[in-house]
Amino acid sequence: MLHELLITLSGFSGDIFRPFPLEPEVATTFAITDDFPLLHPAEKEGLDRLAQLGFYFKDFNDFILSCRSPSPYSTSKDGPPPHPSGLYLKALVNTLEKKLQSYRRVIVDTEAAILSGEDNLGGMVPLSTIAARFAPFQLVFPALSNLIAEIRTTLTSETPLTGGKLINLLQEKAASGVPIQQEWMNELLQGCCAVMMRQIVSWVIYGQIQDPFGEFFIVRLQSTSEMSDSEPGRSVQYSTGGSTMRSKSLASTRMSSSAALTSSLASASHSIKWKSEYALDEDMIPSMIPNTLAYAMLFIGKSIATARQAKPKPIPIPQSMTERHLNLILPFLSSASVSSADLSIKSISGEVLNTTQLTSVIHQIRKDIANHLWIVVQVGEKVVRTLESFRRYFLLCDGEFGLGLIEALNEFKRNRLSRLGQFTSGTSASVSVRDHDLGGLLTKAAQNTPAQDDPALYSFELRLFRPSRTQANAGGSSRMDHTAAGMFDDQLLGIPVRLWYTLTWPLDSFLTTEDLEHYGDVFAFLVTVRKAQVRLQQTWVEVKSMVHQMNSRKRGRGTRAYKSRIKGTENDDAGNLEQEAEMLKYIAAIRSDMVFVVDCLWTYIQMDVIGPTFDSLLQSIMTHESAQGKHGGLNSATDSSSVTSQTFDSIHSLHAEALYEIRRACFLTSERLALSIKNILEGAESFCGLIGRRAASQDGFQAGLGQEQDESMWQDWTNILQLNQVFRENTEKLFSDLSVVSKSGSLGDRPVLRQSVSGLGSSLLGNGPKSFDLVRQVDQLLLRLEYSKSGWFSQPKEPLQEQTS
Amino acid sequence: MPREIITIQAGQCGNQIGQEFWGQLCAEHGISKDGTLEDFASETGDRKDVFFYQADDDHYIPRAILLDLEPRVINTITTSAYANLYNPENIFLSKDGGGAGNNWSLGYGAGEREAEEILEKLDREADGSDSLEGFMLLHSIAGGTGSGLGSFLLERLNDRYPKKLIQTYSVFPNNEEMSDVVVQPYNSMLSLKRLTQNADCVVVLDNAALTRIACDRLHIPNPTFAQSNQLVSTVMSASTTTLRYPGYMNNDLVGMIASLIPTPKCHFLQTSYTPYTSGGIDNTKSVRKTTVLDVMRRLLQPKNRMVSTTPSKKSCYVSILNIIQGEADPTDVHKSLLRIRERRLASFIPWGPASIQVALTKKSPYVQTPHRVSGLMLANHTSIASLFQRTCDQFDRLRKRNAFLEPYRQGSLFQDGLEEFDESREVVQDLINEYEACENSDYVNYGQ
Repeated sequence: MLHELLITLSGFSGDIFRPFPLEPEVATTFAITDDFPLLHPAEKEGLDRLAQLGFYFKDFNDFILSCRSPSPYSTSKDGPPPHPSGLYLKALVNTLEKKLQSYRRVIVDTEAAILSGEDNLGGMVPLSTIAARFAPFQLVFPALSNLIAEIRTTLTSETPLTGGKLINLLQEKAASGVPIQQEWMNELLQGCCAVMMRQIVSWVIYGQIQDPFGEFFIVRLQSTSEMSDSEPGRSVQYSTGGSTMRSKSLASTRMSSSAALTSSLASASHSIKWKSEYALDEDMIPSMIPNTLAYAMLFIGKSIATARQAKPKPIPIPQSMTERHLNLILPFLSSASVSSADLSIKSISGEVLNTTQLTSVIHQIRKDIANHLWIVVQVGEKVVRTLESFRRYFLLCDGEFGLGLIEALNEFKRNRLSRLGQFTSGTSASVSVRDHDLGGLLTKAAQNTPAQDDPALYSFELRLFRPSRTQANAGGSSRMDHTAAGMFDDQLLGIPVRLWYTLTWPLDSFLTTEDLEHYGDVFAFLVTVRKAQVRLQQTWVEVKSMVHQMNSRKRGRGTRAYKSRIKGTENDDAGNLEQEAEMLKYIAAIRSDMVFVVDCLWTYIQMDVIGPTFDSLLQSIMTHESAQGKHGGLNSATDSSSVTSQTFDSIHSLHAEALYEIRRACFLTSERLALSIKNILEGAESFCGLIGRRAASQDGFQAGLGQEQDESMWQDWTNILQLNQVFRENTEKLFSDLSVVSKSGSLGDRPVLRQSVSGLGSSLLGNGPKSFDLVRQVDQLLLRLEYSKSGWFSQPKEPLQEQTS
Repeated sequence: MPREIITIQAGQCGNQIGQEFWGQLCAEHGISKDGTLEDFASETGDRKDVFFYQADDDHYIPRAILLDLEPRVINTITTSAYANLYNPENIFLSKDGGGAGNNWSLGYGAGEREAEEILEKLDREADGSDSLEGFMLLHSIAGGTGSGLGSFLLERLNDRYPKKLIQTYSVFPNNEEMSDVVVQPYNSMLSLKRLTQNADCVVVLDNAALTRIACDRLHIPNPTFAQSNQLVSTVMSASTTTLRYPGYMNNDLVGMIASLIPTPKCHFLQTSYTPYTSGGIDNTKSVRKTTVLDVMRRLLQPKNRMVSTTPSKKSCYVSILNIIQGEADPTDVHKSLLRIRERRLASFIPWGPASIQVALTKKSPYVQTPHRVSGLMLANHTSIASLFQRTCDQFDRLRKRNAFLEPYRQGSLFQDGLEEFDESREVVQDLINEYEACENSDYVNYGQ
């Protein structure tokens, strides 16, 4: 009978104790069969209670087994395995198993006691003695059973309790008033935390994610193929061991979810590589790890991982540093992986994991790593250098390169596009230009300028902008429509072309492709302005040569006229010449007005906007760097961690802020203003085109004067007057728009744009009194434009217009 | 692509200025006196090839053509430390060596005679450059060679290279006191006609003003030619800094000229420079604090201007370009512009928009100056007409008496009579009228 009981306690049913309720229903316990004689109801109840433990035990064992054994379905592709498990679960099960040893020992001890007669009270073993031996388990097992039931139900459900969630559950359970229950749960928690700690260590020290089941709170966001080859077969031993067999199919299910995560996160973080590769899965962060700590860990691992993968040459973290960090963090590992002696101390402090210590260690490591990278990789220097080259090429601060580029573009346009245009008509010509056709342009532009020896230039390339099919179709009719291409893109070649920069490590940590798009926008804008400026300057030469031609004609006639004047006969030519001179003067004046506006715009952008903005940006990066260098040297200043930890992110946001400011000051964020400027520039271009054509024909504006009337010349003349008119109107419009901006202090675009700009959400936003000072910048432009006389553009009454009408 | 500029220095004055100019450029680019690059000149970012080209042994040769009809000045150059700098093929000396005797007509005649040889040198230089932007002529308009030969060259260059720019640095005579060259007004007048019709941009330098600046600003009681030439070379080098140290604006000559000269006729520029310090002129006042505002304000002061004009009430600026060298904070520029406008330190033409354009450029790293910021102003100011008017008055006085005309009759231009004189007078009068018209708001009106 007693043996029967012991067997039952070990989880096996026998003749006396049977699973109850009976067969058709699901057994929830062992119970003495109803027809068993000779038992007092109280005894029966006591026995049943003990038998219940046995059932729990069996249940636990089943659970352990089911979690451990490879799933029979694992080979079949279809359908998820019945018990998707994870490292955490295995760890849990393992700890449970270990814990249950004590229960087994109690059974063995009890048997020994029974057999030795130790427990005998007059030849029989009282039930209460046995019950007393198993009493502690009476307290624990039901709670455990609940826990396992909970885990079981979630296992089969859509959202299995894994990773951090499991830890959270355990922690919740451990918050119990029953000491033994707390102890057991804590120990289970320890088991799980050990896994987590290992993952943390591997991440924080080696930058690797040891996470075949996707339970870690740091997720690698990558295409699934890369993910699968990076994960299996890492040599770190898990306490559960040998679990990778099932990982394949599991990983695939997990991967689909992480792929979803990838896409969602990637879109949110604007595909910056620094952010795109790894991310925090906040659901997975156990509550015992504060989010800030998790972010710190993310940063460390990310730094290490990116440093290791750095192309072309990986930057290894020095061995000594790794060892130091290991020494720092390993105590956590051992304490987490439990000896019960430790546990008693731990449970006094009430903490499974000493988060305070962990936090300080993590911060220490983080600081080390950041300093190391900063110094070894010379991040600051590289960023500064890249930004300088951006300034030179994207922002056209290298004027000679700009000139060369415009020249090269014009030549390309003449040679290629016109030739193509002969066979194909209109917009379809653009189709036949390919990226590689544009390849040589930059090199050509840089030829014989200081830029030709600049290796940074090789990272730049001109690309065709390929609108989607529908846009391409719409493009011909209404260019304004495809804002995606950027308003000024087609100004370079007549077809949308953008300047692009290939980001390399570690710059991709600070710059997003979105930033590059913005740079491309600014570049297109600047090139357009510059092109108009250059064109207007060339027109000066054309006008000048027309004047010279006129003068030489005058000289030729002059002597004749002089003689004829002496003779007293006036020549008609003189009047014509005078009229021609007046016309040329008028043209020259229009040109000068135009070049004035364009010059103002250009100097404004370069001197008032880009100069100060970039200077202060570089300045702040430099100070970061010097701060880094100093702390790197001291190595002990703990207060530097705040500076250090922000550096990477703050550079990014500083830069994003500066870029946004430049874009806004170029009025690229306001369609209305950008359109006005574009109209002005286009007007100037067509004016120049007209003059250029007239100048190219032999006799300039002389043809229409005198006897032979030249229709085309008068046509051109009317066009010029008209262009001037339009130009005035556009400038006035721009001016009044700008005045409105100056008064209201807003471009009318801010709410939308500020959200869409990455990096602006940072704490730095709005801190600097200098940034976002739109009014100041607009006023600077207004001052430049209306320097000589206030009301030059803002007064609707225009002397020039009156005269021309 | 470098936009090369070929420098032509004609006559005594032109060559002396040129000598100083090249010395200055060499110093700024770290080029030694024999054309080799100095060891310390390791910094990049400057464009030496605008004004220099490299020989096979990598030494730098100025794109300069030295012309004179008498050997004295050029001999000084060829025996100086800079003797090996120049390309000897680019030196032209008249075979008879007699000079032009302060006679425009002789200089012009010599030009016609030796046209082939001179133009061959020009063409060779022009062909040797990838994308020639223009020519820079250094001369004085009072003497014989600079004015006569210079005038001849202006005409020829204009025909030969119609698309290239011609900028001149023309030294006007000190016409406040009587000169030892009595025919100076004749020479000036004839040259002025060519400067008006054939040059694209004339930087007017006035000996009277140069002397005044040397006296007043530098406290040199009797400035030598070398000292005033140094002032000129400072201005020249400063006005070309945007070409030699490229920034985001004015990378070419045309960019500079095109914004300064709205209508082609009004292309006479005045210059101011501050603060003056150069190697040779060291006994200047004590070093003061220079700020952008300070520099820009001083540039507008007439006493710093290198031309003596008598502005009328209506005189105004057609355009201004300030080239600020040194460590200037771009944000200061705006502040200075604002301040200058508030104080009404400059008045502008009434018929079009105008402003003080500012270009910030680097300073040469090899030339140490005590000042943080220095500035050059290139200004198109209508008061320049008063200078021409003075020349006209002097010319008229001589012409009325038909004095000293005989030597001119030898020249081919005057074979048929002296109409050239009157035509030149007419052209210059036109120019004066044009500048005066510039002061009115109805300057640009067509169809009335």
